[in-house]
Amino acid sequence: MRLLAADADTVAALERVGARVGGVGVALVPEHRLAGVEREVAACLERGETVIVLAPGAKPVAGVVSTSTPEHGGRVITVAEPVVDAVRRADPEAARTLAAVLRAATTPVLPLRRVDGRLPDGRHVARYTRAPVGDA
Amino acid sequence: MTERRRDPVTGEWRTFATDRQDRTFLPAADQCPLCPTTDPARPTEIPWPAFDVVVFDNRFPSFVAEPGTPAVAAHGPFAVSPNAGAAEVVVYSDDHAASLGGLGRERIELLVDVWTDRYADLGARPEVGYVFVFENRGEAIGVTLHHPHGQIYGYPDVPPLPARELAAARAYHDAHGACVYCAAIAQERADAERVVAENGAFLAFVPFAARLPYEVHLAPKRHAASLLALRSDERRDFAGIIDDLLRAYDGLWGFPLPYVMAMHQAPTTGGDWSPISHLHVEFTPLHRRADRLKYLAGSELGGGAFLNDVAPEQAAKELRAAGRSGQNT
Repeated sequence: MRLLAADADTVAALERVGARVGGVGVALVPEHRLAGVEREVAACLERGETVIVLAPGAKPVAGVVSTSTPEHGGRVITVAEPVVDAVRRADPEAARTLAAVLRAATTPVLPLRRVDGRLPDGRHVARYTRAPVGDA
Repeated sequence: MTERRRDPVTGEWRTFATDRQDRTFLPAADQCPLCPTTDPARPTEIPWPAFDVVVFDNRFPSFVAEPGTPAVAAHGPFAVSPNAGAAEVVVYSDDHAASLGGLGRERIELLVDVWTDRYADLGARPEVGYVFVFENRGEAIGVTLHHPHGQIYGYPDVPPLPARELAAARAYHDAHGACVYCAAIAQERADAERVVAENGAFLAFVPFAARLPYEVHLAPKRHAASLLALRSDERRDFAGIIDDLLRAYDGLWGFPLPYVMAMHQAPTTGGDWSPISHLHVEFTPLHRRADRLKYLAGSELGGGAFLNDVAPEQAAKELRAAGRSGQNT
């Protein structure tokens, strides 16, 4: 495994389809800072950020191969390398897929029960209650 | 008329939503639009007889997902833009007489999770570049409805105050390779005399260079760019420190202290804000003593330079004492 180099093309491809990568707290480490990867990863995780790691050869079926939360904070998302390669080639469909899975993977699981609806004049309304234990 | 106009002198966008002039203004308790609907013949904004927390699109919005065409076109140095974005109302409780400080820790924990969900939801929308959670409490601040509630604006871009903070944070990061807010928190903890409350993950303090006499900031002690970066135990500590602060505020002079609560966190414009954005909440009461308000006047409104009548160390000392006495009652 190696750290995903957040080259400008990858970031631009993701942002074109609304990935909002920075906005959801993903740590993007520039290519020129790849030296000393272990220290960088540790620092990102200690700050509670998400680190994206490439898994060479992994099947790109779901885009994200695994998501884990280390005990000391942060999150590691392992992404199949072919998916990132497709994003770098500016394949819009691949970028959209990766953007969606990154958003889902970096949103915490909240112990909420949310019911969406519409008010009589069409405005959106959401009713929130605490989800029962085990129902988050 | 609903549109945004950019002031070419400052470069800031100003929002116009003239329909808001007719919004509901301090209705009697039995006419409150944020109470539950208990009589179907007299529906309120909320169509249920009871609820915990409800979020809905503001009836008098400053920003909407699909805005109309501005009334004027751009010309000369004047730029114009539609009011694209979001404006939501967050109702904290179905109890008309409650307030955020009196809801109890469990309800505030639920509210923190709701804010987190709204941040994720609104931040993913293409028309929203900054999710701004806030509350105005008390007539001194200008509330128009007393029922306990806050609001969320989804601005299309980063509003001026967070933008200034982020620019300063970027400059500090470039010079020192670290988050300026992390550095400030570390110094506040070391100095200790401006700390109002602290728990496992969060710190409440009167800032070293506070703008207003009893201004207090709440922030996670470790770097977290937004609500989405908080773990579940940290969200609980966030709720706990809000509860602690409001107990101190309400105990300070024996009445519910009016305030503006404003949450600053990572923009959702894209790009990597993580290294320089540090989630924090700014509480700014306008009182400078029990019977006097600190008005924003010549220096503050005309010059943008705040003059503060109370030393931050003294304000923190009073708030610590008020918090201790609040725990004993």
